[in-house]
Amino acid sequence: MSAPADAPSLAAGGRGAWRRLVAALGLPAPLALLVVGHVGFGLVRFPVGAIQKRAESVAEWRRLGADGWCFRKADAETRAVARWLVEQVGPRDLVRYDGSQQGALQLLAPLLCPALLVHHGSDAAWPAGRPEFAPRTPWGDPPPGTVHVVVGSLGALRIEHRSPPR
Amino acid sequence: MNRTSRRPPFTALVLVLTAVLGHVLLWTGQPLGGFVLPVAAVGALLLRRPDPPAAGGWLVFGVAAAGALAIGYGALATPERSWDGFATWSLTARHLNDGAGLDAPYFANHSVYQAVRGYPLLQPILLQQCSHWLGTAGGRALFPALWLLLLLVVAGELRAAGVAANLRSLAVVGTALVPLFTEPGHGSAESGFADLLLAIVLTWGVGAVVRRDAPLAAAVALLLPVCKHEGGVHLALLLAVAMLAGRGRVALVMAGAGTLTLLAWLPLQAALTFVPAERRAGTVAFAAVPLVVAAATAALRWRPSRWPAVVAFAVALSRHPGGSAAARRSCRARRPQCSAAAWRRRRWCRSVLRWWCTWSGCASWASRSWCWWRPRHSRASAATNPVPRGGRWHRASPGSVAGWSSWCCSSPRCRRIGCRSTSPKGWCATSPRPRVRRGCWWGSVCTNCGSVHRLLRRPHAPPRSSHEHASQVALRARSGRGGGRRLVRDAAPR
Repeated sequence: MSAPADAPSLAAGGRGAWRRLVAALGLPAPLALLVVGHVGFGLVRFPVGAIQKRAESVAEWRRLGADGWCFRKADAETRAVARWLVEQVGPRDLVRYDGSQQGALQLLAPLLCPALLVHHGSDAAWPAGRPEFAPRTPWGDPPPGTVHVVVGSLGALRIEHRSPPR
Repeated sequence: MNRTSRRPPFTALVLVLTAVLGHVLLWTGQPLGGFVLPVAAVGALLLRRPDPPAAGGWLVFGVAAAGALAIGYGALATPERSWDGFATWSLTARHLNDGAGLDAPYFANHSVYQAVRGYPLLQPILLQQCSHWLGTAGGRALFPALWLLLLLVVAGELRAAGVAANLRSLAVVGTALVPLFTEPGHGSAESGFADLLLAIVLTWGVGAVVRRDAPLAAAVALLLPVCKHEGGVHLALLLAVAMLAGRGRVALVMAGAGTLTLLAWLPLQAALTFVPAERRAGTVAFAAVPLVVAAATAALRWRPSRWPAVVAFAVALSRHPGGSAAARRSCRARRPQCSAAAWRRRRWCRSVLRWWCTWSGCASWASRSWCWWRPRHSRASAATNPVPRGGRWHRASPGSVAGWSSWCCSSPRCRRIGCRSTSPKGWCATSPRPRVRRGCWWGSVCTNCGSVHRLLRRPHAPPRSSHEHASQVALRARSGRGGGRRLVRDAAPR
């Protein structure tokens, strides 16, 4: 099949348009190619990346709630512990914690804000004038002489009953 | 040029005054009210009027409006959906908004949990101010506002640098379409991270260095350390670039303002991170880093002292005691462990070395090819090319940014064309850089050939079954090595 008669002129026109664009931008051709490519890629990606992904994440947050979103990759017990703490802890309570400072506790602290997490074995004085959070767990009464401690690990939260260190 | 136009832009003044006022209040143990941002805005208005937007057109307006709407929706619909913004930056702002000063238990009590202590406070102060007036959810309107400010700053700096309007608009559109900020995720505009604020201040910093704008450089140096942890590193880099590029006054102003900021911020950060009193002085000594960097780069720029300065640096680094006597003893004691750990990770080190060689080889190839890509015979391109032939810029301003970049990017052919005939005597002929690049290239080739050779010579071992793997783990457990200890501990009754 023979090429269209105006194919060379079209190609020349394309090159001419590109040269005019490069001259108008005042950039070297490779740099102009990168900039125009970035803008084109951004324009193509914008509806999916900036709108669709954002709408999906907002919808998922609303469906799961704050605690469900934060612990959506954790196990069911961690999600249950987080949900229960968010519902039960008062705004001025102190909640004992132990375990890894990194990981699940990082997300629990803002969920319980303005309540504070205090270290179970800390020697420092605790904040004065705030009550300690000490309810019954839904999984059974704590043994006498023990307190509730939220134990965090990299991806999980557990509630343990421990004897108070002081 | 009148005095008003020599002052930093209105928004930079607002940020500086907010940072100063907010930190002073927190230092003195006062909770932040809602007046910090309004007072800073009025003060900035007295010093300089806001500039009109420096880029226009339907494409710029459309992209900026679409981006602001999308980011605004994501910011206002929910709290931050990224962990660092949710768990650190915005949590600090929420505590500040609840009336907490730096003496509140969240900051001052060692037993209270805080994910990361000592984060810079400028963005939490800004968010607290917005939340005070607009509510907790409405305060997150700060994030789309900062994103729009980034676009305005890019346009303003390009206009001040004399860039043409069409290229300016394209740059603004390109900035608006950067996925890191536009799309949801870590570091995005609505994530609550301070990267957006840092990007704004760095854009001002680059503009200050390029345009030799000392007042703006001072504002940048005041803001960078309180924007983000790495702001101090960015400050040192900007300062070094300014000094090497011949912007000595800008660099000195930046060093002075940065030192002042660090002198104010580092003790506060040490208090927030509970650094013991005997180590506070050592922490605050880091405030001298901008001055040291300025002095070092000045010595590097002054050609007679260049090589003595490099040697002095190398000697100082090699002889550096590395902190306190206890730290030195600890380091000395751990040296065999570190060596053993490095030996255990030798395969990883080798692969990192291979990748480094490969990519540096690619960079070398790209820099060699640059002079073939760029249009050489066009007069217009010669006028607008950001990296013209090395020789011309070497001759014009040896030691400038352009000269350095041109020197780094010039291939032997480039130097044959322009540099050898026009550069200072011996500049290219004796430079070790081509030899280093060639060494990287051949190192990459050799290591990759070696790995391919090993791959071809590797005997085809049968795939291990899960049963075999489990038996090996059990064997390790019995011998008490590696993962075995974990198995034994798990098996023990709780």
